[in-house]
Amino acid sequence: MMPPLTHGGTQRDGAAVREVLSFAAVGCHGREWWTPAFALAGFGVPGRLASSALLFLLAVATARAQPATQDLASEFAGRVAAAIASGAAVHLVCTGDDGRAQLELGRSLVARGIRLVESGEGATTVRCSCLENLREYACIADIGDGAARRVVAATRAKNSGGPAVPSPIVALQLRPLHAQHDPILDVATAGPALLVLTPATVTRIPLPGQPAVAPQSAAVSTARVWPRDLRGHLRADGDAFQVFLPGVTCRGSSTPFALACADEGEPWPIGIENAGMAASRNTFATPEGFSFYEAAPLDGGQWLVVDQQGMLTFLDAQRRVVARGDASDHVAALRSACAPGSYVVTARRSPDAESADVLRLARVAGATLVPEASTIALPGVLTALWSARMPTRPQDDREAVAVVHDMQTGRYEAFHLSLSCAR
Amino acid sequence: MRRFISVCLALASVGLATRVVQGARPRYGGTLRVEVEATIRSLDPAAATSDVAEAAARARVVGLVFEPLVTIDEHGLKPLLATSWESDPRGARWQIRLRSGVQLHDGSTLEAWHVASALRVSEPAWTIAVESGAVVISPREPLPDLPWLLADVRHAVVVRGSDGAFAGTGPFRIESREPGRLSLRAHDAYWNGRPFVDAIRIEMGRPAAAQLSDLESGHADVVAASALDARRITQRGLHIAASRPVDAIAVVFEPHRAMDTALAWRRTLSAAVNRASMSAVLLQRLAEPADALVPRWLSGYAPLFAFDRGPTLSRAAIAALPLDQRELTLRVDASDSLAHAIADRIAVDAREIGFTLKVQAPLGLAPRPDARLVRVRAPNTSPDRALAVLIERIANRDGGTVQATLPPGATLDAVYQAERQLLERSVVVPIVHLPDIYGFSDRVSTWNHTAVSESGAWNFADVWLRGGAP
Repeated sequence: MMPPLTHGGTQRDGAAVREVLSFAAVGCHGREWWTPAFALAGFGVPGRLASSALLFLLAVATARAQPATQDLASEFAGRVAAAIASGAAVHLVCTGDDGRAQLELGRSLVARGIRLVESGEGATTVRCSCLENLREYACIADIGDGAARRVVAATRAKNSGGPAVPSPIVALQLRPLHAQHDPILDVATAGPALLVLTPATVTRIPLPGQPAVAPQSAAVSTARVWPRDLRGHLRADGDAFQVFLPGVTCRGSSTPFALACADEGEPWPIGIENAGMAASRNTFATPEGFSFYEAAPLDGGQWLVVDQQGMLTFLDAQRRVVARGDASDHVAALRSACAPGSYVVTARRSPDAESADVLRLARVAGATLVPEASTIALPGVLTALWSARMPTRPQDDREAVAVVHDMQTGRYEAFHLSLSCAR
Repeated sequence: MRRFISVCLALASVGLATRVVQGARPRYGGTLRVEVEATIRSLDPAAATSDVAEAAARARVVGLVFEPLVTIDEHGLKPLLATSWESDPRGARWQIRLRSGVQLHDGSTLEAWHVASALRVSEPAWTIAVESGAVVISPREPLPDLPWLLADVRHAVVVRGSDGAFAGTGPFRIESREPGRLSLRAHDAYWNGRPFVDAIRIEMGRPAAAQLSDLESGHADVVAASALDARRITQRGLHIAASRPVDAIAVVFEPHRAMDTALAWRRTLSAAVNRASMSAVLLQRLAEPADALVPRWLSGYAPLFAFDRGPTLSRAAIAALPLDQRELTLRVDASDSLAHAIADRIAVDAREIGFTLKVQAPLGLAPRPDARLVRVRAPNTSPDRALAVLIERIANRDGGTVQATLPPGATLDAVYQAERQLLERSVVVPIVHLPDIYGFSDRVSTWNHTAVSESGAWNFADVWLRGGAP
């Protein structure tokens, strides 16, 4: 008999995503139109004029495959950057687009400490092109000359038969969990109750639909003096839960409600190896000593962290810095079975103190963030963003808890943050 | 300037194409009169022919009558008679499920054994079986990209009757064959919708000039045209539709001019050809200048070949060359007037830098040329297969100076490197890529789609005729 088959799925093989095994199909009524874009792509003149081709590519991609082609450009840039030694001088000559590939590449190369130079003399010439063929969207770079010449390509398969599985339209979904005037550090669901962590207490509040009982509170007993920017994290597993505070760890249970704390630091369960948050500090450090505020675990054992300069920073599997991105105050990873790949939500404090923060959703492509359309304006300033796993959700789903301080009303509000998909 | 040319070229293409697309509510009926220059001797998709023109014409006609399991459009592979396909990870064993309820031209229903029988004829080396209503294919060697191969017209499903008649599943069935004429009739039960026209009459062996004349005088509805005729057709108020560039025109140097010591000499000649001007002026912006052999829309990497053509000879160095290196002969197919015009243009460009290039279009025996201008058709397929086929077709004509091998399903970087390796010796020098161009009478309209697809395939099932008869 036939070995196990993949059904309508994709198979990742390095940069290339190839649909190789199985395809389902329906009718063929939707045959192609001759579009102006096709004319542009089909009859442009090579060289600089091939720009029309990528205009076509981008135009069509925007309509039907935007994530795939955006991913491709980003991944391509990462691959080219990885093929060039750090510190090298590079003369970049790209064609087949209107500077997009060159821009992406240039940025990625500079981020790796590579110098871009105007002239090819004494420099490694990188020639690149981003177009498409019938099989795939393709970016290809020809690096160097002579014997040292190398070719790097990144491709994305087109629909290879059958009804195309539409790309999910991914959106951020924000669900209010709890609001109060006392500062909230984190919330978590533990059994039939919501636990709310404040600087002084853990409060147990029955979830909607549960028997109405009065909230119960337990004090966080510690001899520590909290830092000004106190951060705390709750992690629940069934009825049991743990509280992580700088230099303090508490263990408790939801039913019966109990809490016991000790002034000792432990690694925090934030998806990356760390020694916990030191007392009177608000940062974590990797075993290698790299300090960061928040971390989002990504596919492939990598991480995106907010470093001490407030920059989004990609760490590889060995927790080495591989790339830096934009400024951000917060980052958390989101995942949903309906949207393959790594997604992160980021937020940056508005320069205008009165303005509300905005959550931005991005897809991770190599060492680049590809913005998704969905942004959410918060009712205030985001004070905490923690990964969370909701008990009712599949194991692989990764969600988050966001805590917002509404400056106008003085309230703190906790939200559950997740991805939703529409096709 | 180059940008201007590109935009003009694009606009021209769109304008020409959209005129054929537009139309009111379509009408059923009438006979579409088509003329082709080649004579199609066999409609068997699996039959081999060395006649390039016949092969091209047959591929178009076969596509109206017979259908493969899958097809290829700009979105990639699409199912046609198959609904799904799956394989083991190596591509050594493929299971293909078929569309149900497809009626053949003889009124019977397409079944898996029909498909298996047809594929056994086109691919005798494959092991093909029927299991649980599905066709199971085990190629002699694993083929991870077998669906791309199955999309080739050679693998169209033909049901061969005991009387020698062919039945297919396409929108038209063969009604009659006479010398020089092929008549097709609409397949009323076509699974994808009955064609609008009742019949297609294809006149074969019509010279290009006669076709043009028939179109202008209203005796033909669809004729093959060349880029040289485009202006004339549109000036008469008739329509033109073009495919994407499908033919590669290239200069291939003969073995005695293909030595490594003559590399700079060949590069100099290659660099002398003003491809942009040739495409814009001579070929009426209906061609694409070529730096690579595989057209850009099939390769996805062609612009990279515009860089680094390598060192060339200066004018002084050319002037200092021995006479036998400053004079060369370029052979063209005597029956290909467009190729002749391109060769003449190359001769002008070569003369400008100090070479004397004679164009030779022999009808019989002739002195050995230094290079040939070849015209090879790129198949509508994945880049690896497109390059492999182009190389094979060139090799068949040049007698062995051109060689390259590519494994099936080769990655794009491997394809690019193979083509770069092929072209960096400048033994094969791409000049332009040409589309298939057709002239249409003013009674031809199409519904939803163009009459000629991007790959050049005839989409005559969507054609309808204004004014009814003939």
